[in-house]
Amino acid sequence: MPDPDKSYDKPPIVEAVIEVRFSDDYSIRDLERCRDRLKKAYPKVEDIDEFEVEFAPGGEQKTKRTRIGFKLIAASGSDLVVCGLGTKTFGTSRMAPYTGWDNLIAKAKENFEIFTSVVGRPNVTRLAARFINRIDIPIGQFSEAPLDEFFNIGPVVTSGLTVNKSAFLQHIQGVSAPTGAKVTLQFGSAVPVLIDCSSVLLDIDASFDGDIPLKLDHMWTRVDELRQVKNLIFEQSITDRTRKLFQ
Amino acid sequence: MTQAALNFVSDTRHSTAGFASMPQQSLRSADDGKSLTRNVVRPVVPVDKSFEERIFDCLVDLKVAVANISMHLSANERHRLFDELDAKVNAEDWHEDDYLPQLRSFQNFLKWMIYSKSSAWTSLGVSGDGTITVAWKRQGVLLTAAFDVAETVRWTARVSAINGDLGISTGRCSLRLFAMQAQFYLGEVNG
Repeated sequence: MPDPDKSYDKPPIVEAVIEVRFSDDYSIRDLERCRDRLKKAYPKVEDIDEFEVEFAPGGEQKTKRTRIGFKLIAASGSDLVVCGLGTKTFGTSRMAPYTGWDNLIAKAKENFEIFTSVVGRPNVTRLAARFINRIDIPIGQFSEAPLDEFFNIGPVVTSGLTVNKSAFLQHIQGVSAPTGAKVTLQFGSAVPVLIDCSSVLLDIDASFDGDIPLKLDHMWTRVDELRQVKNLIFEQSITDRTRKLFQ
Repeated sequence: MTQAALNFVSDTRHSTAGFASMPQQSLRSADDGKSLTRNVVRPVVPVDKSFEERIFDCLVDLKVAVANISMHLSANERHRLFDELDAKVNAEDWHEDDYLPQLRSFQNFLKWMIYSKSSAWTSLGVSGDGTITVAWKRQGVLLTAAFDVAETVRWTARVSAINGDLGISTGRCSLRLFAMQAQFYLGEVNG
Protein backbone atom coordinates (compact mmCIF):
# COMPACT_ATOMS: atom_id res chain seq x y z
CA MET A 1 0.00 0.00 0.00
CA PRO A 2 1.60 3.32 -0.97
CA ASP A 3 2.26 5.77 1.81
CA PRO A 4 0.12 8.91 1.27
CA ASP A 5 2.26 10.85 3.76
CA LYS A 6 5.50 10.22 1.89
CA SER A 7 7.54 13.35 1.22
CA TYR A 8 10.32 13.95 -1.29
CA ASP A 9 13.50 16.02 -1.31
CA LYS A 10 12.68 17.42 -4.74
CA PRO A 11 8.97 16.99 -5.33
CA PRO A 12 7.96 17.18 -9.00
CA ILE A 13 5.06 19.53 -8.25
CA VAL A 14 5.12 22.45 -10.67
CA GLU A 15 1.93 23.96 -9.41
CA ALA A 16 -0.27 23.37 -6.36
CA VAL A 17 -3.60 25.15 -6.04
CA ILE A 18 -6.17 25.39 -3.28
CA GLU A 19 -9.34 26.85 -4.70
CA VAL A 20 -12.63 27.95 -3.20
CA ARG A 21 -15.59 28.35 -5.53
CA PHE A 22 -18.66 30.35 -4.53
CA SER A 23 -22.11 31.14 -5.84
CA ASP A 24 -22.19 34.84 -4.96
CA ASP A 25 -21.99 37.55 -7.57
CA TYR A 26 -19.40 40.19 -6.87
CA SER A 27 -18.79 43.43 -8.70
CA ILE A 28 -15.54 44.28 -10.40
CA ARG A 29 -15.14 46.98 -7.74
CA ASP A 30 -15.18 44.27 -5.04
CA LEU A 31 -12.46 42.42 -6.90
CA GLU A 32 -10.38 45.56 -7.29
CA ARG A 33 -10.60 46.25 -3.56
CA CYS A 34 -9.54 42.71 -2.86
CA ARG A 35 -6.69 42.99 -5.38
CA ASP A 36 -5.49 46.21 -3.74
CA ARG A 37 -5.43 44.55 -0.32
CA LEU A 38 -3.38 41.63 -1.60
CA LYS A 39 -1.06 43.67 -3.77
CA LYS A 40 1.49 44.29 -1.03
CA ALA A 41 2.35 40.59 -0.75
CA TYR A 42 1.70 39.87 -4.44
CA PRO A 43 2.98 42.91 -6.33
CA LYS A 44 2.85 41.64 -9.91
CA VAL A 45 -0.68 42.23 -11.12
CA GLU A 46 -2.17 40.72 -14.26
CA ASP A 47 -5.76 41.48 -15.09
CA ILE A 48 -7.82 38.72 -16.68
CA ASP A 49 -10.10 40.07 -19.36
CA GLU A 50 -12.79 38.47 -21.41
CA PHE A 51 -13.27 39.55 -25.00
CA GLU A 52 -16.46 39.22 -26.96
CA VAL A 53 -16.20 39.66 -30.68
CA GLU A 54 -19.39 40.00 -32.67
CA PHE A 55 -19.38 39.59 -36.43
CA ALA A 56 -22.33 41.13 -38.18
CA PRO A 57 -23.40 40.73 -41.82
CA GLY A 58 -21.44 43.13 -43.99
CA GLY A 59 -18.19 42.56 -42.19
CA GLU A 60 -18.88 44.87 -39.27
CA GLN A 61 -17.12 43.73 -36.14
CA LYS A 62 -17.70 44.77 -32.52
CA THR A 63 -15.35 43.95 -29.70
CA LYS A 64 -16.20 44.16 -26.02
CA ARG A 65 -13.65 43.72 -23.29
CA THR A 66 -14.75 42.90 -19.75
CA ARG A 67 -12.55 42.48 -16.71
CA ILE A 68 -13.37 39.17 -15.08
CA GLY A 69 -10.58 38.69 -12.62
CA PHE A 70 -6.97 39.14 -11.70
CA LYS A 71 -3.84 37.17 -11.08
CA LEU A 72 -1.33 38.37 -8.49
CA ILE A 73 2.22 37.06 -8.26
CA ALA A 74 4.64 37.41 -5.35
CA ALA A 75 8.08 38.87 -6.02
CA SER A 76 9.60 35.39 -5.71
CA GLY A 77 7.51 34.25 -8.68
CA SER A 78 6.42 31.15 -6.76
CA ASP A 79 3.31 32.28 -4.87
CA LEU A 80 0.14 33.41 -6.57
CA VAL A 81 -3.43 34.39 -6.02
CA VAL A 82 -6.00 34.08 -8.79
CA CYS A 83 -9.49 35.48 -8.41
CA GLY A 84 -12.15 35.14 -11.08
CA LEU A 85 -15.45 36.93 -11.29
CA GLY A 86 -16.69 34.80 -14.19
CA THR A 87 -15.53 31.52 -12.70
CA LYS A 88 -16.50 32.64 -9.17
CA THR A 89 -13.30 31.28 -7.77
CA PHE A 90 -10.61 32.36 -5.37
CA GLY A 91 -7.41 30.37 -5.42
CA THR A 92 -3.98 30.33 -3.85
CA SER A 93 -1.21 28.74 -5.91
CA ARG A 94 2.31 27.64 -5.26
CA MET A 95 4.72 27.03 -8.09
CA ALA A 96 7.87 24.95 -7.69
CA PRO A 97 9.72 24.59 -5.41
CA TYR A 98 6.83 23.17 -3.43
CA THR A 99 7.40 23.73 0.28
CA GLY A 100 4.70 21.50 1.70
CA TRP A 101 1.00 21.38 2.40
CA ASP A 102 1.22 23.24 5.72
CA ASN A 103 2.71 26.30 4.04
CA LEU A 104 0.26 26.16 1.17
CA ILE A 105 -2.84 25.87 3.33
CA ALA A 106 -1.60 28.57 5.70
CA LYS A 107 -1.29 30.96 2.74
CA ALA A 108 -4.67 29.87 1.37
CA LYS A 109 -6.32 30.61 4.72
CA GLU A 110 -4.56 33.97 5.04
CA ASN A 111 -5.56 35.05 1.51
CA PHE A 112 -9.13 33.81 1.91
CA GLU A 113 -9.43 35.80 5.13
CA ILE A 114 -8.41 38.95 3.24
CA PHE A 115 -10.90 38.11 0.50
CA THR A 116 -13.75 37.68 2.98
CA SER A 117 -12.78 40.81 4.89
CA VAL A 118 -13.31 42.77 1.68
CA VAL A 119 -16.31 41.10 0.06
CA GLY A 120 -17.91 39.30 3.01
CA ARG A 121 -18.28 35.58 3.58
CA PRO A 122 -19.21 33.89 0.31
CA ASN A 123 -21.54 30.94 -0.10
CA VAL A 124 -18.93 28.27 -0.86
CA THR A 125 -20.03 25.60 -3.32
CA ARG A 126 -16.79 23.78 -4.05
CA LEU A 127 -13.43 23.17 -2.38
CA ALA A 128 -10.56 21.85 -4.43
CA ALA A 129 -6.90 20.96 -4.36
CA ARG A 130 -5.17 20.64 -7.70
CA PHE A 131 -1.62 19.38 -7.96
CA ILE A 132 0.19 19.40 -11.28
CA ASN A 133 3.27 17.18 -11.26
CA ARG A 134 5.81 17.28 -14.06
CA ILE A 135 8.06 14.28 -14.05
CA ASP A 136 11.23 14.76 -16.08
CA ILE A 137 12.68 11.41 -17.13
CA PRO A 138 16.05 11.04 -18.89
CA ILE A 139 15.22 10.19 -22.49
CA GLY A 140 17.57 7.20 -22.51
CA GLN A 141 15.61 5.54 -19.69
CA PHE A 142 12.18 6.56 -20.95
CA SER A 143 12.57 5.53 -24.56
CA GLU A 144 13.84 2.04 -23.77
CA ALA A 145 11.27 1.00 -21.19
CA PRO A 146 7.50 0.61 -21.42
CA LEU A 147 5.32 3.24 -19.79
CA ASP A 148 4.27 0.86 -17.01
CA GLU A 149 7.88 0.73 -15.79
CA PHE A 150 7.29 4.30 -14.62
CA PHE A 151 3.55 4.61 -14.07
CA ASN A 152 0.76 2.38 -12.81
CA ILE A 153 -1.74 4.22 -14.97
CA GLY A 154 -1.77 4.81 -18.69
CA PRO A 155 -3.70 4.19 -21.86
CA VAL A 156 -4.64 0.63 -22.70
CA VAL A 157 -4.61 0.05 -26.44
CA THR A 158 -5.25 -2.88 -28.75
CA SER A 159 -2.44 -5.28 -29.45
CA GLY A 160 -0.36 -4.18 -32.38
CA LEU A 161 -0.64 -0.51 -31.44
CA THR A 162 2.21 1.04 -29.50
CA VAL A 163 1.64 4.14 -27.39
CA ASN A 164 3.77 7.06 -28.49
CA LYS A 165 5.20 8.15 -25.15
CA SER A 166 5.80 11.68 -26.36
CA ALA A 167 2.20 12.17 -27.52
CA PHE A 168 -0.43 10.59 -25.30
CA LEU A 169 -3.12 11.93 -23.06
CA GLN A 170 -5.56 10.39 -20.61
CA HIS A 171 -8.45 12.15 -18.88
CA ILE A 172 -10.25 10.31 -16.11
CA GLN A 173 -12.98 11.38 -13.74
CA GLY A 174 -13.92 9.41 -10.68
CA VAL A 175 -14.78 9.45 -7.01
CA SER A 176 -12.36 8.67 -4.20
CA ALA A 177 -14.03 5.86 -2.27
CA PRO A 178 -13.07 6.69 1.33
CA THR A 179 -13.89 10.41 1.19
CA GLY A 180 -16.39 10.86 -1.60
CA ALA A 181 -14.13 13.47 -3.17
CA LYS A 182 -14.53 13.98 -6.88
CA VAL A 183 -11.26 13.42 -8.74
CA THR A 184 -10.19 14.52 -12.19
CA LEU A 185 -6.95 12.94 -13.28
CA GLN A 186 -5.10 14.05 -16.39
CA PHE A 187 -2.04 12.14 -17.42
CA GLY A 188 -0.02 12.75 -20.54
CA SER A 189 3.17 13.77 -22.24
CA ALA A 190 4.30 17.38 -22.05
CA VAL A 191 6.67 19.56 -23.99
CA PRO A 192 10.09 18.67 -22.50
CA VAL A 193 11.64 21.42 -20.45
CA LEU A 194 15.12 19.91 -20.20
CA ILE A 195 17.71 18.71 -22.69
CA ASP A 196 17.59 14.95 -23.32
CA CYS A 197 14.64 14.46 -20.99
CA SER A 198 11.00 13.59 -21.60
CA SER A 199 8.37 15.29 -19.48
CA VAL A 200 5.16 13.68 -18.29
CA LEU A 201 2.38 15.54 -16.51
CA LEU A 202 0.29 13.97 -13.79
CA ASP A 203 -2.41 16.47 -12.94
CA ILE A 204 -4.63 15.58 -9.99
CA ASP A 205 -7.68 17.65 -9.16
CA ALA A 206 -9.57 16.56 -6.03
CA SER A 207 -12.67 18.40 -4.91
CA PHE A 208 -15.77 18.41 -2.77
CA ASP A 209 -18.70 19.78 -4.71
CA GLY A 210 -21.53 20.71 -2.38
CA ASP A 211 -22.22 20.05 1.33
CA ILE A 212 -19.47 22.46 2.28
CA PRO A 213 -19.45 23.14 6.04
CA LEU A 214 -20.45 26.67 7.00
CA LYS A 215 -17.99 26.91 9.89
CA LEU A 216 -14.65 28.04 8.57
CA ASP A 217 -12.61 25.61 10.69
CA HIS A 218 -14.68 22.71 9.42
CA MET A 219 -14.35 23.96 5.87
CA TRP A 220 -10.56 23.91 6.08
CA THR A 221 -10.69 20.44 7.66
CA ARG A 222 -12.49 19.30 4.50
CA VAL A 223 -9.68 20.82 2.43
CA ASP A 224 -7.19 18.87 4.54
CA GLU A 225 -8.99 15.68 3.55
CA LEU A 226 -8.20 16.47 -0.08
CA ARG A 227 -4.52 16.29 0.76
CA GLN A 228 -4.79 12.60 1.55
CA VAL A 229 -6.83 12.01 -1.59
CA LYS A 230 -4.35 13.63 -3.97
CA ASN A 231 -1.35 12.08 -2.18
CA LEU A 232 -2.81 8.59 -2.38
CA ILE A 233 -3.63 8.93 -6.07
CA PHE A 234 -0.15 10.24 -6.81
CA GLU A 235 1.57 7.44 -4.90
CA GLN A 236 -0.62 4.79 -6.52
CA SER A 237 0.05 6.24 -9.98
CA ILE A 238 3.84 6.04 -9.93
CA THR A 239 6.31 3.19 -9.62
CA ASP A 240 9.46 2.99 -7.51
CA ARG A 241 11.52 3.69 -10.62
CA THR A 242 9.78 7.06 -10.95
CA ARG A 243 10.04 7.73 -7.20
CA LYS A 244 13.81 7.40 -7.45
CA LEU A 245 13.90 10.36 -9.87
CA PHE A 246 12.94 12.88 -7.20
CA GLN A 247 14.01 11.25 -3.94
CA MET B 1 -25.41 38.67 -28.77
CA THR B 2 -25.85 36.78 -32.03
CA GLN B 3 -25.16 33.11 -32.59
CA ALA B 4 -22.06 34.12 -34.45
CA ALA B 5 -20.61 35.84 -31.41
CA LEU B 6 -17.40 34.34 -30.12
CA ASN B 7 -16.58 34.30 -26.48
CA PHE B 8 -13.07 33.66 -25.28
CA VAL B 9 -10.79 34.52 -22.42
CA SER B 10 -7.61 36.40 -23.17
CA ASP B 11 -5.39 34.02 -21.24
CA THR B 12 -4.08 30.66 -22.32
CA ARG B 13 -2.70 27.91 -20.18
CA HIS B 14 0.75 28.29 -18.80
CA SER B 15 3.29 26.11 -20.53
CA THR B 16 4.23 24.33 -17.31
CA ALA B 17 0.81 22.80 -17.24
CA GLY B 18 0.52 22.14 -20.95
CA PHE B 19 0.16 18.63 -22.25
CA ALA B 20 2.00 18.01 -25.47
CA SER B 21 -0.65 16.08 -27.26
CA MET B 22 -3.75 18.20 -26.96
CA PRO B 23 -4.68 21.80 -26.15
CA GLN B 24 -6.00 22.20 -22.62
CA GLN B 25 -9.12 23.87 -23.88
CA SER B 26 -10.16 20.56 -25.45
CA LEU B 27 -9.70 18.80 -22.16
CA ARG B 28 -11.98 21.15 -20.38
CA SER B 29 -14.69 20.69 -22.93
CA ALA B 30 -15.11 17.10 -21.73
CA ASP B 31 -17.13 18.38 -18.81
CA ASP B 32 -17.62 22.00 -19.80
CA GLY B 33 -14.78 22.97 -17.46
CA LYS B 34 -17.03 22.98 -14.42
CA SER B 35 -15.37 20.18 -12.51
CA LEU B 36 -11.79 21.40 -12.78
CA THR B 37 -9.88 23.72 -10.55
CA ARG B 38 -9.33 26.56 -12.94
CA ASN B 39 -6.91 28.74 -11.08
CA VAL B 40 -3.83 27.33 -12.72
CA VAL B 41 -1.25 29.81 -13.86
CA ARG B 42 -1.55 31.28 -17.32
CA PRO B 43 0.14 34.17 -19.03
CA VAL B 44 -2.09 37.11 -19.76
CA VAL B 45 -1.93 39.62 -22.60
CA PRO B 46 0.02 42.54 -21.14
CA VAL B 47 -1.65 45.90 -20.81
CA ASP B 48 0.14 49.27 -20.84
CA LYS B 49 2.46 49.38 -17.89
CA SER B 50 5.00 51.82 -16.57
CA PHE B 51 8.72 51.25 -17.11
CA GLU B 52 9.17 50.24 -13.45
CA GLU B 53 6.30 47.78 -13.69
CA ARG B 54 7.70 46.26 -16.88
CA ILE B 55 11.11 45.82 -15.25
CA PHE B 56 9.54 44.25 -12.18
CA ASP B 57 7.34 41.96 -14.29
CA CYS B 58 10.38 40.89 -16.30
CA LEU B 59 12.25 40.06 -13.09
CA VAL B 60 9.33 37.99 -11.81
CA ASP B 61 9.04 36.15 -15.15
CA LEU B 62 12.73 35.23 -14.96
CA LYS B 63 12.25 33.98 -11.40
CA VAL B 64 9.24 31.94 -12.50
CA ALA B 65 11.51 30.33 -15.11
CA VAL B 66 13.90 29.35 -12.32
CA ALA B 67 11.00 28.09 -10.21
CA ASN B 68 9.78 25.94 -13.07
CA ILE B 69 12.92 23.82 -13.03
CA SER B 70 13.80 24.33 -9.37
CA MET B 71 13.38 20.63 -8.55
CA HIS B 72 16.63 20.15 -10.51
CA LEU B 73 18.54 22.86 -8.61
CA SER B 74 19.83 23.04 -5.07
CA ALA B 75 18.52 25.79 -2.81
CA ASN B 76 21.93 27.49 -3.02
CA GLU B 77 21.89 27.49 -6.80
CA ARG B 78 18.39 28.92 -6.82
CA HIS B 79 19.21 31.66 -4.33
CA ARG B 80 22.37 32.58 -6.22
CA LEU B 81 20.38 32.99 -9.43
CA PHE B 82 17.73 35.06 -7.65
CA ASP B 83 20.37 37.32 -6.08
CA GLU B 84 22.02 37.87 -9.45
CA LEU B 85 18.69 38.62 -11.12
CA ASP B 86 17.80 41.10 -8.36
CA ALA B 87 21.17 42.80 -8.82
CA LYS B 88 20.94 42.98 -12.61
CA VAL B 89 17.28 43.55 -13.42
CA ASN B 90 16.17 46.71 -11.66
CA ALA B 91 14.78 50.10 -12.64
CA GLU B 92 17.93 51.98 -11.52
CA ASP B 93 20.24 50.29 -14.02
CA TRP B 94 17.97 50.23 -17.05
CA HIS B 95 16.70 52.85 -19.47
CA GLU B 96 13.23 52.91 -20.94
CA ASP B 97 14.43 52.15 -24.48
CA ASP B 98 16.62 49.18 -23.45
CA TYR B 99 15.63 45.71 -24.55
CA LEU B 100 14.68 43.73 -21.46
CA PRO B 101 16.18 40.27 -20.86
CA GLN B 102 14.62 37.66 -23.15
CA LEU B 103 12.85 34.96 -21.22
CA ARG B 104 13.54 32.25 -23.82
CA SER B 105 17.23 33.07 -23.78
CA PHE B 106 17.31 32.77 -19.99
CA GLN B 107 15.39 29.49 -20.11
CA ASN B 108 17.99 28.13 -22.53
CA PHE B 109 20.76 29.07 -20.13
CA LEU B 110 18.92 27.25 -17.32
CA LYS B 111 18.43 24.17 -19.52
CA TRP B 112 22.11 24.19 -20.36
CA MET B 113 23.07 24.61 -16.71
CA ILE B 114 21.10 21.53 -15.68
CA TYR B 115 22.28 19.50 -18.66
CA SER B 116 25.95 20.33 -18.09
CA LYS B 117 25.62 20.13 -14.29
CA SER B 118 27.45 23.44 -14.28
CA SER B 119 26.33 26.08 -11.83
CA ALA B 120 29.74 27.67 -11.19
CA TRP B 121 29.22 30.73 -13.38
CA THR B 122 30.93 33.95 -12.35
CA SER B 123 28.40 36.51 -13.52
CA LEU B 124 25.29 36.93 -15.66
CA GLY B 125 24.61 39.82 -18.00
CA VAL B 126 22.28 40.96 -20.75
CA SER B 127 23.37 42.04 -24.24
CA GLY B 128 21.90 44.96 -26.17
CA ASP B 129 19.18 42.82 -27.74
CA GLY B 130 18.16 41.17 -24.46
CA THR B 131 20.17 37.96 -24.92
CA ILE B 132 21.46 36.46 -21.67
CA THR B 133 25.24 36.41 -21.43
CA VAL B 134 27.24 34.40 -18.92
CA ALA B 135 30.88 34.61 -17.86
CA TRP B 136 33.13 32.07 -16.18
CA LYS B 137 36.47 33.15 -14.84
CA ARG B 138 39.21 30.74 -13.80
CA GLN B 139 42.98 30.94 -13.44
CA GLY B 140 44.10 32.21 -16.89
CA VAL B 141 40.74 31.57 -18.56
CA LEU B 142 37.80 33.83 -19.30
CA LEU B 143 34.90 32.14 -21.03
CA THR B 144 31.87 34.18 -22.09
CA ALA B 145 28.73 32.90 -23.79
CA ALA B 146 25.53 34.36 -25.18
CA PHE B 147 22.52 32.00 -25.05
CA ASP B 148 20.21 32.94 -27.88
CA VAL B 149 16.53 32.11 -28.18
CA ALA B 150 17.16 29.50 -30.89
CA GLU B 151 19.06 27.21 -28.49
CA THR B 152 22.48 28.07 -29.85
CA VAL B 153 25.38 29.58 -27.97
CA ARG B 154 27.91 32.13 -29.23
CA TRP B 155 31.01 31.84 -27.09
CA THR B 156 34.48 33.34 -26.69
CA ALA B 157 37.36 31.85 -24.71
CA ARG B 158 40.36 33.95 -23.74
CA VAL B 159 43.25 31.88 -22.42
CA SER B 160 46.41 33.49 -20.92
CA ALA B 161 49.58 31.44 -20.39
CA ILE B 162 52.10 32.14 -17.62
CA ASN B 163 54.66 33.32 -20.20
CA GLY B 164 52.22 35.97 -21.46
CA ASP B 165 50.97 34.12 -24.52
CA LEU B 166 47.34 34.92 -25.25
CA GLY B 167 44.88 32.73 -27.16
CA ILE B 168 41.41 33.74 -28.19
CA SER B 169 38.87 31.29 -29.63
CA THR B 170 35.28 31.88 -30.62
CA GLY B 171 32.50 29.58 -31.70
CA ARG B 172 28.83 29.02 -32.19
CA CYS B 173 27.19 25.71 -31.34
CA SER B 174 24.22 23.93 -29.83
CA LEU B 175 23.55 23.83 -26.09
CA ARG B 176 24.76 20.22 -25.95
CA LEU B 177 28.04 20.96 -27.70
CA PHE B 178 28.65 24.01 -25.58
CA ALA B 179 28.61 21.77 -22.51
CA MET B 180 31.66 20.02 -24.03
CA GLN B 181 33.35 23.33 -24.93
CA ALA B 182 32.87 24.67 -21.42
CA GLN B 183 34.29 21.51 -19.90
CA PHE B 184 37.31 21.79 -22.19
CA TYR B 185 38.12 25.35 -21.10
CA LEU B 186 37.04 25.21 -17.49
CA GLY B 187 37.83 21.61 -16.59
CA GLU B 188 35.48 20.46 -13.87
CA VAL B 189 32.81 23.07 -14.53
CA ASN B 190 31.37 22.82 -11.05
CA GLY B 191 34.74 23.64 -9.62
